[in-house]
Amino acid sequence: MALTPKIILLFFCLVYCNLFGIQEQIKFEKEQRIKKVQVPQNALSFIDSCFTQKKIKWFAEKSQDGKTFEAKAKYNNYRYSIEFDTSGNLIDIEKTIPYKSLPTEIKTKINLRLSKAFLKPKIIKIQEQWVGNKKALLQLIKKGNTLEQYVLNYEIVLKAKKSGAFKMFEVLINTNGEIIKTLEIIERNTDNLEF
Amino acid sequence: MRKTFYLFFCIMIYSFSWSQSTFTSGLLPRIRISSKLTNTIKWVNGIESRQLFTDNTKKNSFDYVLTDISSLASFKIGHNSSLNGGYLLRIEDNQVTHRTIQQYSFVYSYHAIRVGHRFVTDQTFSTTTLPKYRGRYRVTLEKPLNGDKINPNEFYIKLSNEYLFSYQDSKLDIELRVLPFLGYELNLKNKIEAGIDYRLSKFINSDPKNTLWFTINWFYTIQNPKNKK
Repeated sequence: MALTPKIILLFFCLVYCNLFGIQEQIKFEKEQRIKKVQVPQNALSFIDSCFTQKKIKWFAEKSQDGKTFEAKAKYNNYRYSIEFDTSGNLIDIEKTIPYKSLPTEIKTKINLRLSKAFLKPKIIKIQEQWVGNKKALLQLIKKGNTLEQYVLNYEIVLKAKKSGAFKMFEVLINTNGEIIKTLEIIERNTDNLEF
Repeated sequence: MRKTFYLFFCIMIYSFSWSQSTFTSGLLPRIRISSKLTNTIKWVNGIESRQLFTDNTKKNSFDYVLTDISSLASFKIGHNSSLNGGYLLRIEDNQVTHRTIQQYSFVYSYHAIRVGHRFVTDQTFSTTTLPKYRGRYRVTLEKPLNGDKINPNEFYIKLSNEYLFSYQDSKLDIELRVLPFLGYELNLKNKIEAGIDYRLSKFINSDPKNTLWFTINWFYTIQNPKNKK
């Protein structure tokens, strides 16, 4: 086999990854409270069809994925975050759930994967992430289930040991227990709460 | 009903603290500089000073009181807890007081708030007074004023409540502290907080002592380039 430039590049990439490890991306997210009038109309219409209550908090969010709009609401004792792009198109819905409410099979898959990927992981927060069409996601909010097709992932915030210290991570994991994305969360300094 | 209860409670506290009590107030600026030495060890240095404005037991009460210089080593021991130990040097009326400090603290993050718990024991020694031993517990709550997270250039509120038990010369005293603050996060390294540090002490078997410090805190973090992540 001839050593083409592509093969040489691939070889160096593999050596680099093995030597230095693939570094987790650092999570960057800045949200700013905005007024309802600043939100695209189709995003407002979708939220109006989802929730009956008036208390919806709107945020403009900047993250490593770009600029988005996010609505936050509490409905049937669950916290929801509904994310839209700048044109008001629905991106995904996240619902905060208690870890114990997950099916045993999913819990086992998640635990197994996390303990392979991290040292001493401790789950802090877990959210169901739904990606799909508006109809499917609306039914999931209203009824808790749907016959429409949608993708279910879990966004998990956890603390785990890395380089001898506990750090925070955000992990996106699918229903097969495969990690889709890992971001390291840089925690705010706690000096003002400790000293 | 709840409002009536709060009003009643406030009136009770107000009347209790002002009847036949001593009252002092002043300014308490404080600087805390922490340096991350390794992933698990921090070195926290601080300086604070007290300037008295009013004292209802003195005629001329506008006076410089003291300066505290402290140095603590902080060891992260778990997901969210740390063990800290150090020393404080107090300079007051040309006298020097020494204090050794042992501390255990942990911080929990909830949806939009962070809650910090701090347990401290300290021992104070000087050539003019008998040793003083204290045990203290403080709970602090921090909440952003915008959104669910505190980002750079954003304001937040911080509320603390502290209970101090002290023992000196066979006498026991309890002090209560309430500290409401408005904070501003300039960036990830700098925080500034301004607020009130209200202290109520000597309320067992004597006239209560009230102290009101107008406090300004500056927290600065020196990040070692090797431990930036």
